[in-house]
Amino acid sequence: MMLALLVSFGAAFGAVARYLVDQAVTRRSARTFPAGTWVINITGSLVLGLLAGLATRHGLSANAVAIAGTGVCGGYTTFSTFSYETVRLMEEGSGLVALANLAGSLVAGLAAAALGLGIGLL
Amino acid sequence: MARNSHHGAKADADTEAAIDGSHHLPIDPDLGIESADGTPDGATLDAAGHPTGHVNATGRAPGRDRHLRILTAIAIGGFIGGLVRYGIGRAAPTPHGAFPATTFGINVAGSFILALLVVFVLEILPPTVYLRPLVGVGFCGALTTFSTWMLDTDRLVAAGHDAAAAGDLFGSLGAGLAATSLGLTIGRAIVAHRSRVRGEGHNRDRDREMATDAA
Repeated sequence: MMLALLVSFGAAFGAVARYLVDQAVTRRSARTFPAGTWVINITGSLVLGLLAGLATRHGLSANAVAIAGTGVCGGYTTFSTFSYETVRLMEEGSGLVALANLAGSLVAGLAAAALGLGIGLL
Repeated sequence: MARNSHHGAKADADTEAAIDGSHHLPIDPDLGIESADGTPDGATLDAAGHPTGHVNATGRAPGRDRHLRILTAIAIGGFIGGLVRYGIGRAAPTPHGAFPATTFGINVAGSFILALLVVFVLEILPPTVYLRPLVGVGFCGALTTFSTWMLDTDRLVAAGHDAAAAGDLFGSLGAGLAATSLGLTIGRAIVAHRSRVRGEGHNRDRDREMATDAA
């Protein structure tokens, strides 16, 4: 019960951080590519991988992983906005940008999570 | 009468725009949240909502107050979204090496809700400042997760479960995009239906006026 509340507070913190990072990144890039969501999802995947590695190798507690991983990283990264932006780019005729967003997010996301995991396992 | 004809034509144009999807939804679903009433981001408003260069009686700029209220709405939505995701994850945990059906379902459902929400907020509901931060940025953003999707896929690959990994990666992607499209399509169909009903109302008014003129 207590853990569920802490996970939820972590998700609330992650969601606010996502909004602020998205605004900061979007203000700096005038391009159509949804750079804000990309940066958020890649950095969040890196941190979640790191937490998983630390839990496996260095005894980071399951509760800490739930709060920082499931809570903060889960609340920070987002699938729904990634999907929405990709569909809207396709609708607007920016098919190449949509494809770049898809490929760029998947490749970099898988690599970032694997990198984080690798560092955590050191 | 001329005014009614003009309105009728506009309603027709709205209906067509809604049907072919050419009306202006933003690419970034969070775009313009801080200026949902049409004032630029950071502009200060007085108590009645009129732009003003002054600070209010509390000595703080009202635009800053609104920024904090938007962040609060995001935090509340994020809290609930995170709680729901954690609760569902506890109720239906994914066995090791299996296709992560729980995260898959959550991400697909959240994508549908977000798409529907954006159409409702921008095209149907009266101007509102806090609904998108609460439900879109907060709830849907925190309910769905990208990082778990990536890590789960990496782990399935590492454990040699290539089919489950590919299914997770491309299945989530395909189903998520389809759910977003479905949400947009349903939202737009509702917009089109509403403006068609309104357009018919205008036409009826115009016909009645023409009949009166003729008499």
